Amino acid sequence: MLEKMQSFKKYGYLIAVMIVFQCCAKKEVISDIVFQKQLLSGTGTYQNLEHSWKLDSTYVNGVPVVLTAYQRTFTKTFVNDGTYKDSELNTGTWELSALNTLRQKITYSTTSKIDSCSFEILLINTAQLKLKLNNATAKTEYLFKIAN
Amino acid sequence: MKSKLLYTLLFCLPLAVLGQDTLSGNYATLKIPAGVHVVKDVVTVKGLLTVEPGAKIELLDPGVIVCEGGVAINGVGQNIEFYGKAKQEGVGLIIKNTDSSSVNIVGASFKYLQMPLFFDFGWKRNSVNISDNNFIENTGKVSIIQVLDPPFSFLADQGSIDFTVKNNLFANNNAPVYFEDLKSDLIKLSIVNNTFAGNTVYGFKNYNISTNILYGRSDNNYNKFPALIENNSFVSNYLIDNNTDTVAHAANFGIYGSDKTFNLANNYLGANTKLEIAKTIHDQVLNYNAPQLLVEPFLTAPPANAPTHVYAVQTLDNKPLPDSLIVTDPLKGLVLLSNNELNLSKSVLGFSYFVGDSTLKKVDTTLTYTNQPNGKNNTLTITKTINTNKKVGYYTLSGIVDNTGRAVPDVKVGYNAWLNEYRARKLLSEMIAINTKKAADSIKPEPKPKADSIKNTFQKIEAPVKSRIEVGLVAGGAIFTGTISSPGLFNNQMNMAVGVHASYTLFSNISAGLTIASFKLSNSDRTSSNNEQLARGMSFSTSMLSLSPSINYDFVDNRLDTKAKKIKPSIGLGLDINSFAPSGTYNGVEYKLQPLGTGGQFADSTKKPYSLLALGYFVNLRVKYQINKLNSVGIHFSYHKSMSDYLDDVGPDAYPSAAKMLASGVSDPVAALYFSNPTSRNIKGQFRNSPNNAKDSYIIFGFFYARKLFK
Repeated sequence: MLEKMQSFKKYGYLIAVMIVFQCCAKKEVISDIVFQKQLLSGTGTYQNLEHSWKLDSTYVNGVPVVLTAYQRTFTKTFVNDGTYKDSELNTGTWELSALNTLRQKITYSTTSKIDSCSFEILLINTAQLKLKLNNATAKTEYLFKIAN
Repeated sequence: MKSKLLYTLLFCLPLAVLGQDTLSGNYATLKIPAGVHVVKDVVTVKGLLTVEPGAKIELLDPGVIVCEGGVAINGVGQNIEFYGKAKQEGVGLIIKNTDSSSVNIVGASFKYLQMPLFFDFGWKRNSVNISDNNFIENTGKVSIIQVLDPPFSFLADQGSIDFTVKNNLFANNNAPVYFEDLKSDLIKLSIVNNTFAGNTVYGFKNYNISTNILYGRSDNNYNKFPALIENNSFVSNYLIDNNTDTVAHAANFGIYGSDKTFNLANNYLGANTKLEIAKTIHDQVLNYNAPQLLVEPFLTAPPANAPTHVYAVQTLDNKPLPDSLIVTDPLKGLVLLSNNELNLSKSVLGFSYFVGDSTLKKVDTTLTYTNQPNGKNNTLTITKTINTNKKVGYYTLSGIVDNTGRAVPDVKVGYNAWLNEYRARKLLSEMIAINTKKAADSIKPEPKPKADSIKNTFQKIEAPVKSRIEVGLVAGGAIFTGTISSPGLFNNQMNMAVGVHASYTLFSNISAGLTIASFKLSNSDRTSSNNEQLARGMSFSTSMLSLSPSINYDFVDNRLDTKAKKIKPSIGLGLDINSFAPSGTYNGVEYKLQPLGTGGQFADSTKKPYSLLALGYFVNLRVKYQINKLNSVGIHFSYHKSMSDYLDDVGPDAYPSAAKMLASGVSDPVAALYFSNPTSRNIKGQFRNSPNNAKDSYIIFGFFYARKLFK
């Protein structure tokens, strides 16, 4: 009887080891800020190196601003490697210093002047991006739509 | 004329059939007239049994006539016949019960029967007379005549029974004549003028009291009537060994009991010297508890008033031919010495001998001879000899009668030696046969095992139902190989799978199985080696609960439990019933994907959400190692194909538009939007399950432990 029990124990250990071994399956866990970065600029993988966002509407102090046709073609492109470009041929860099905090350095193509700005990300998903310009005298909000 | 003859024949045939009378059942009295009568079972005659001359009674096994009253069998010249048939020998007559009548058995012939006369225990009659009968070639090995004691009372004067056995011929029988008491206070026994010739009493090699042609007891507590046994002739009676069928000993008379002596004087005991006679009897010499047989004075020749028989054979120059003679050279002739004149007019002289050195093949030939009778001597000169090449043979003279027409026992010369030769050849032939078979077996190639046919594969199993059940635990990994998966199998995520498995052995190589498994499937395009999939960027995770019946072919007969067959592979097919619920993580929150309609199921009124229950099928391979009769471990691998393409939530749907997704009314449209196109790709003209359009599938592999619950 004792031998039988020992035999069962042996098989029990074997199964337990298998279970533990199998529980070590690889799991993909990404942080909120990385996820936000991926929404903003893509995952950095094939055909997903950057995301372009086209300006859809602008609000100043909560009041929609009527945009011209030209303004409606304005597109911001966030490249996954941290570089930035837009439809006015300005370039620069970007970073998410914290969750929902977008910092940009922009080199204007016409003046070569370098400017820094900071946005609060009010909304971001795979189709929409809503930014609020920080440190502005008026509360200015921009709504972009994905334009890949 | 011809037709008249035919009609006559047709008329006579039924008469002939009707002339054969079958006797059966109980009779108050029975008279058996002349003619043929058949007894096939027990016929009981309560009163007088009368058998008239000319009656022929055929007793077929188990035919027997039980006589509870008087018996009157009065034939003339043995013209009443009681006989059996070869292989169907009937029993004979049984005398039983106490009755004041008499038993007269006179002038009858008893042939081919098991026990011609049996006086059963407790029988009693006024007198018994058994005279002038022939007991010839009876096949039973118990007794020719067996006489047990009548009932005895110490208180009353019971009178006596005159029991006479006179002038009977006992020849070529296989059993003795037995009297329970040769000395009695009740039976006045007289055995006189009988011939006991050529009988073979069957027994074992050891010669004892009962292996004599006549034997019985003589106790000193009886003193009235010692048996009178005289003027009998005992010639060529032998004990035959049952095992070898060869002559073991001469066997004329046996006596036992508490008496000191028993008188056997005035008989011819087959020899002319006391020393030779002593070799044919069993008495105090061989058993000191038995009486001494007083054989002197003995007769030097059989009495003339005993049934005629040949008591000695000599060569033509009057040299005795002993029974042990080995005949390898043909004899020129024979001289027959008999107690009465012989009639050889219808006699046939035969010679039988072996052919070859070791075969059992026997040739029976008939010889011609001339006879020169000279009173009680007959000189036969053989006129046709046979060249036997010195092979052992024997002569048989049959069909002899005496001057009254009564049968005379056959004469055999060299038969005892021939029996020994027969035995030796039989042993030799058996050895040769065995050796030949062994040689043939060793030359014969081993029979090739037949290729497994369907018939062989599906051998039925006689084992009890419960001993065919095996249950086990299954553990291992599961890898999704469907839409969201990498071409490289091990680039995919592996999750744990556990389950329980039960199998039931249907046939020797076929078993049915049922697995209930719980496992997780997950994968992500981000680990794919395919760029298009990388760009798609989808991922999923789903818990699976599957119920999977299967049928398996076992390469090794699953009844075997030998060291050589411990490893038992099997292959099988089965069905899956899967419950699943794909989910994904968006912004740190896990969402069930089916309710979100990520393929636009809720954004497009023509679509509907997929079912979370799916059918599938699979093939599996198992290799089992049988630890002992009950326990086994092994590895398993199975490939499962689902009939649903939504195990990973990604089916053959076009990418839904973002606006519609946001307006779809699901619980979290933003998450739904994300899952529908996580990388925000330009998806014009593409399906979500592109580029590989793979159907969902997965593999499960791992270890198992199984145990038979019952032996």
